[in-house]
Amino acid sequence: MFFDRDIMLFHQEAEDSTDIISRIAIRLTEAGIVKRDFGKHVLEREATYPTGLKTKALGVAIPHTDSKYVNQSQIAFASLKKPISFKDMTDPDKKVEVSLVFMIAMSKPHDQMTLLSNLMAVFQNENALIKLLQSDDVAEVKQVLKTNNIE
Amino acid sequence: MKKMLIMCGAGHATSTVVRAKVESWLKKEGLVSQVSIKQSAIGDEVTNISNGNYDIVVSTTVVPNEIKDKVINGVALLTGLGADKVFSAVKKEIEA
Repeated sequence: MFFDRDIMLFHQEAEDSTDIISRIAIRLTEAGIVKRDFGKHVLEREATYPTGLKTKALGVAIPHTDSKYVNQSQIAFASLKKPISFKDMTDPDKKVEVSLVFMIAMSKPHDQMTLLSNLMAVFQNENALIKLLQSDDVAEVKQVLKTNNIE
Repeated sequence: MKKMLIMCGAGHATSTVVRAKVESWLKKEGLVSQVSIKQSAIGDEVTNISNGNYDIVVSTTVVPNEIKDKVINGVALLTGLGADKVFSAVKKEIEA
């Protein structure tokens, strides 16, 4: 249900975190999943409360914002051809080289705790992350996520 | 009973995940009855934390320097890297 709209961007050549966040947000907006100013608020939030996470395998980022800018709960996926720098979630002076971005749009706060926990669990699964990085196929990405109880 | 705050930037996403992890850990350790948990956004809590309104604070987001020493960094509970360290820091505060 969280990936049923297939908002996925593969092997993007983005200039920086703002560039990739904007690209994903535009897709979500065009699909009517989020309200028009969702992207702006994600960028603002990312500047103050960054979401770069270093995992064992590679860097991931989970940009998101308040649920009031969201129409329908959904997670958008993007992989990057070359990693780009995001600020670290707990230390904005540190950078994380991010290869995968999961933009989380939640229409209700505190929603989908299990799904989010499962998504975080994937971040600990090196094989799954590398598969996600290499893939350029919507069905394949969904399959990897489904195997990890995310759909 | 110890008062614990779990917070992130918006009080929605990552704090929800951390709360689930902490709750299942408390259960496992038999400490559920000793801790009350509140989940919130950092913007609403800096003053409360400065005033010492919580016994334990776990955060997944950037905190201002003036409250840094009162806050346990909970990002490890998201990534799994170093989760044990977070739990032992929390345990120390519960037992303090």
